[in-house]
Amino acid sequence: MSFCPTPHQAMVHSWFLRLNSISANMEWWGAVEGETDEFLMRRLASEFGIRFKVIYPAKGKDNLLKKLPGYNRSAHDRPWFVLIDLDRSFACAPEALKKWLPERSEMMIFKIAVRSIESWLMADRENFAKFFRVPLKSIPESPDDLENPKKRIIQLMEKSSSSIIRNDMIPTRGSGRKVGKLYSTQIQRFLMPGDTYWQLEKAMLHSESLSKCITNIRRFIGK
Amino acid sequence: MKLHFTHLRLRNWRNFTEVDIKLQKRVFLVGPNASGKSNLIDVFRFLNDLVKPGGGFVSAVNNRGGVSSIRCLAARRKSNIEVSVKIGNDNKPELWEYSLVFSQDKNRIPKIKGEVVKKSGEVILERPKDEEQDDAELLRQTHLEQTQSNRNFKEVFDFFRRIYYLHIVPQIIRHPDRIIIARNDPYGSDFLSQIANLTEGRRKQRLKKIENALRKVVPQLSDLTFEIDAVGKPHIKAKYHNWRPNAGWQTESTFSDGTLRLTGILWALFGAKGPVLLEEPELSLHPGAVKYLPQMFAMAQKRTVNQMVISSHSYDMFTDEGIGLDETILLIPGSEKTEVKAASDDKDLRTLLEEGLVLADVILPYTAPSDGSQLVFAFE
Repeated sequence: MSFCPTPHQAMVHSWFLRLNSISANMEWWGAVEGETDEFLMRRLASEFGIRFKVIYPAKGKDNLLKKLPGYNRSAHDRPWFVLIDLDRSFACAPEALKKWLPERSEMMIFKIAVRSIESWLMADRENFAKFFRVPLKSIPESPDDLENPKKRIIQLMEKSSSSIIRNDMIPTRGSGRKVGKLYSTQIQRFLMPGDTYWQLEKAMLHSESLSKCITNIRRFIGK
Repeated sequence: MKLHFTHLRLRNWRNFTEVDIKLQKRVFLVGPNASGKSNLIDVFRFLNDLVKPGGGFVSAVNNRGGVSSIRCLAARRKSNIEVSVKIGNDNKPELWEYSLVFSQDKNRIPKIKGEVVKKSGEVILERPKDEEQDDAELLRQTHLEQTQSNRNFKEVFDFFRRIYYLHIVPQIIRHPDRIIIARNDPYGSDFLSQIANLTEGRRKQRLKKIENALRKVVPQLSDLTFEIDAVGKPHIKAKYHNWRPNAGWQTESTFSDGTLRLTGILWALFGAKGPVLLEEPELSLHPGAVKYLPQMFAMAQKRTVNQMVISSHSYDMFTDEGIGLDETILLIPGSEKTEVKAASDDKDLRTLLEEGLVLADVILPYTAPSDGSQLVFAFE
């Protein structure tokens, strides 16, 4: 005898969960590729009053994709938020979604940032320019179109009028890395709530990918 | 501008027949157990021992078991040992160069074979001169350690004096009664007296900074303070908020290993005036804190410490994407000697990282013990 639910049972089951579960005091589970994504996820959570029980840093995209089916099963009866970069894996997010998570659990929010969450950061153009001291006109109007947003951020930093920002964000010659020593710390600071720092509402104006993510969260939590 | 070690050259030092590496301001030493991470760090402690009060050349060598135990096993029996460093700043990486070559005499007493100091490439000291060769006493003292003869390169002396090594062994802090408290003890038996020796104002200030940092990892801790007990012994104590219904005071004897070790690291970072040597700072710390240590070190370097040499084999430490390959020094043991090179000099590693792999995934297996799996069969 199989213990697997019939499609009808599964539907009723998930309906039941949806009605029951997504209450304000429920704790969420999260998973991200790395540190900067975690800072962003925590920031989004604070915007919507979401409390995380834990956020798992996967240490790389491949690791996260490997664990995704497990997280998805767990999302049958607890809310999950998983954030991943599209990078250059697929032409568009729906295509990646079909491959990475063809059957999403009811309480799983799985968001693919186009092409990476760095474009979401740049999308608040004004505050990005102010915080990192770069000319506003140098920041792309639609960062979602960038092939490699992280690389663009580092290129933009070359134009920063602040030597602190340049030293922290740009890798030194010979370091062989893509970012500077304090890249992640500076991104963390930029994502701290504050008037001159990153603002969700402003960023949504310049990133369709981020707007979709937010719409999704709102629908999910009924706000 | 503050100085830092910019280059290190060794011959026949411990398990290294030859080392020739550039040093950045933040240096990570990575290698399997017994690959010589501590031996490499020990070179800087040796330089500090040359110049510290009560130190000097002969005691620095003898405290390490004499020439025969310092000399690399792979070296010929009578080979010289050489320690050579360049010191400078970003503008002038080769401002100073100090080299010491030594061996031992027939009675196994350490003997200086060469001592050279260069300033901006120009030799300002080169000895022993011919007339010194017959005087055994002269060959047992560096000019560096003597105030009369180091006048022209006092900056080097001062720089070596400020090298700071603290490797807190929690058990030693907790049970100092069982251990003789040694001055400048690297294992921390004098850690509490170091705190006691500060003026009250500076001590309070530094403990406050340490408390603020500690609370990020141990949020239930507050009121980190210093006190001298009834019998005159120094202690640090703090309130722990979820220990009992009312916050309870605890002293260092009940602090956790991780809290004590982090306190030591922070103490070094907030107070050291010269290069700081840290051995496996990840010990007893949660991975969730370890992964932020490289960023914390980089921040600390902006404010206080100019140079840090850190040994580690923590996966979490090397997930930091800002660690430069030129900051990462790999120790790869062979049958007789250990190869030492910067990760930036390895083309294969560079290629793997280009492919988007995490540094930890690339370098840790690379420096892993080749027969680690055999450990299991010890019980077969």
